[in-house]
Amino acid sequence: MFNKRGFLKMVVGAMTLATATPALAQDSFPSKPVRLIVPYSPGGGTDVTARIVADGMSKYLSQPVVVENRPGASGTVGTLLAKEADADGYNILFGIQATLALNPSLFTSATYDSKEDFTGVALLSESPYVITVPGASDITDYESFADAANDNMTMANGGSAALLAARLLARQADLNFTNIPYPGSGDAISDILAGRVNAMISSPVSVLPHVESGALRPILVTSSESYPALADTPTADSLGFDGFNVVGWYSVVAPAGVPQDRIDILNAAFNETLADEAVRQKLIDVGVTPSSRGLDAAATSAFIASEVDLWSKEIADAGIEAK
Amino acid sequence: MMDFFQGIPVALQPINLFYVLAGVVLGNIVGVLPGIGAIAAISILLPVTFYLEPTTAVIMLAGVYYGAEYGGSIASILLNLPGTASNAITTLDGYPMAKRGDAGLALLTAQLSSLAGGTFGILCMVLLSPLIVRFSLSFGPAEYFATLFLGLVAGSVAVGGAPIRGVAMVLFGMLLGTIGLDLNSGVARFDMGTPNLLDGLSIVAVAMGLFGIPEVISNLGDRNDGRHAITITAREMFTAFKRLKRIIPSILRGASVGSLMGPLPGAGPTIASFLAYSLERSVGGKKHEFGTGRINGIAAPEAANNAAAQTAFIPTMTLGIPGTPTMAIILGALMIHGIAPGPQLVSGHPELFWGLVASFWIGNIILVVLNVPLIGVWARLISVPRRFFFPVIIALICAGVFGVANSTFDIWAVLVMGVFGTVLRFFGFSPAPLLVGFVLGPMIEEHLRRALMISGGEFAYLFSSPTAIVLHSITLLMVISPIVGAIWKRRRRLAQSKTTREMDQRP
Repeated sequence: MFNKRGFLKMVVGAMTLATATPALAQDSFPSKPVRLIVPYSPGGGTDVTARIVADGMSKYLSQPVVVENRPGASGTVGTLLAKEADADGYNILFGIQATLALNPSLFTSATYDSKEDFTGVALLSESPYVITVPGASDITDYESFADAANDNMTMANGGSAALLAARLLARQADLNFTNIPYPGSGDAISDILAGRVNAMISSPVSVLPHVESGALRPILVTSSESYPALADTPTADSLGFDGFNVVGWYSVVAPAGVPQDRIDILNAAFNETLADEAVRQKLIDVGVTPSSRGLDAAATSAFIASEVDLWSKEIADAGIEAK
Repeated sequence: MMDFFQGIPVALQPINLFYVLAGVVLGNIVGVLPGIGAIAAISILLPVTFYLEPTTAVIMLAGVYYGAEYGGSIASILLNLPGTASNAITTLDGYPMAKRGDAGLALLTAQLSSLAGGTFGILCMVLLSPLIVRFSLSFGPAEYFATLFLGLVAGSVAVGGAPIRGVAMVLFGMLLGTIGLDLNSGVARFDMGTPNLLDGLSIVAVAMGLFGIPEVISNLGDRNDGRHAITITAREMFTAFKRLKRIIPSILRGASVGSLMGPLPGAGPTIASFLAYSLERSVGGKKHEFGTGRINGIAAPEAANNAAAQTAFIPTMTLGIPGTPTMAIILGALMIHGIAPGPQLVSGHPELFWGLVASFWIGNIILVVLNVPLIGVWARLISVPRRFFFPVIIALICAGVFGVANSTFDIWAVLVMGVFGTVLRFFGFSPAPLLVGFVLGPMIEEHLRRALMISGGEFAYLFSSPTAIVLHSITLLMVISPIVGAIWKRRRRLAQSKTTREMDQRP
């Protein structure tokens, strides 16, 4: 099929291409696919969100954004991998509240400093946590919830972020319930539906279908602004806990040291993606509230730094030591 | 029931037929290949499903999932390598049958039991879905504890040789299972300072290391290579069908266990197959024949894991509770299309739910139609000199293990487990109870501690429901019946020898 001459042609052609690519790269970033490291398993809520955004991004970058799942150790494995990756803008990390703001204070194995080792690219979403009780429960509003909370209440949580939100609320509202940990909120659903635990704190997305069917009743959301899909549910702030605002967030970060112009290109692409009505709707459908603040890269870094400070202080105040 | 019929036209749409075929064929293939399981294939396919209709997407992903249960038995029987963890138990009787030349019968049994189990599971979905949802919701920490305890006891006394060795293996498996972050306190246990161990050892790495690598190593020195080829004639197949009559009760028992275990989050096909096997060994008679190539020892677990693979969809779809990581990916595929699995799914998207159920049965039929004529071909694989297989098997195991979490660490874990498994095999310990302990150990800890937290430290809470009490009674029965049986036998023997002695003393 190939004769010698044909083979030589191919080699020469390939060499020309190989030398041509770097020349192109100087002019335009990105000139090859961008790798988005997601530190969780495929198919989970975080992964689904990352894929929707990556899919939309590809349009604005004119290069595919490839999701690479590197799950393990509550997101620590993938985050450490991103820290070590080349700081050329082609390696970015899906950074969430748990991995960037909580894990370094919770686990000694999370040997990264989110403020030093990463630089913010864009803030994707902010969603509150919601406290729900079984539909058949006597608890109908915050007042009866607070009464019950001091009477042997059990509160399910599906991860460290939700647990800390619950602890923060308990401290500020002077409530006293027993936290029951589950590996994920999905695992807790059957126990709350059957009433074996009295209440649950979770992201809204995991309970919305059950709230709609009446099987669960929302009591409060933890953000200072009300949550669109649960517009009637009071916020902790409106109940008198001034300024109480605990939100889970999704962001994209890059390893520290990426040239600023590349960060800006990525930031612009993310913010355009988030402004896209079709992408917004898809995110809302999976229960993620897209951020409409359109933060630039520096503001994203500042936001992440403020969250790192807030949570490391809260974790220290709660007397939790890194393990 | 009527709803089910509205799903048939959906499943019969050409595009859905095409994707169910693609799904089950792919599932069957990854099932046969040791190490590469449904989860790796489904993760790779997930992005493809963005461009499909949600019903079609789920039909394909589901096809991969239950297709792997079919394919998994083939490698278990022929090569003593479980294709997936839920087929590990099938090696116990499947491989001895293949060794003595009954590979064709063993494969036929596995395929037909799979079909029967799958059909049983689908019937349960169609007729009993609301009941099954209520049953799985009734399972709290106490009921889980009882089930898992039964599983552990069954795993030690009823799987493989001497009970004391079984207990040792189960306990060691539980110990391996404690590696990683503790859920309640966040303490890292036995992590050796590496973040790779914080989530524990990968189950694929443990299963492949314990079953796959030792099989390869211990056969390396086997010079007697060319095992005589097995040809299966149509007449042999026909006689095989006749022999299959006696496995019907085993299939029914296995499928019932599987249908009940499938919807329980965390349990799934693997536990279903373990429990079905030990139940079969306890009630199916001829206990001593199990483990030497008894056909019922294939039928029960294969019916169970396929029934469980079907009923596992009930809580996933109707409650939004994914029982296994694979189910979580299928949920993700639905969510990306803006469909929130939950109580409204069946009423809000009946075409999706019932179309999926109808496609299950079509997929099951396709799998049997594909595999049964190929049994002769599969069986001939056994006559291929093993030295050609080994490099391929090792490569596949490494690729499959790596594929689960893109982690090279897991490949090293397979190697370490493989060396350990070889030592165990040398001293005659069965790896199956170890796998039981490894899978169930962390779960029983989680549920025991949760039960005690919810009840405020009351141990009585563990016995607070009829389900839990019934399960604990079965466990107790399982422990004491062999002891009582042994005492009874000894008494009779003593009595007999006494009478003979008395007779001797007569003048």
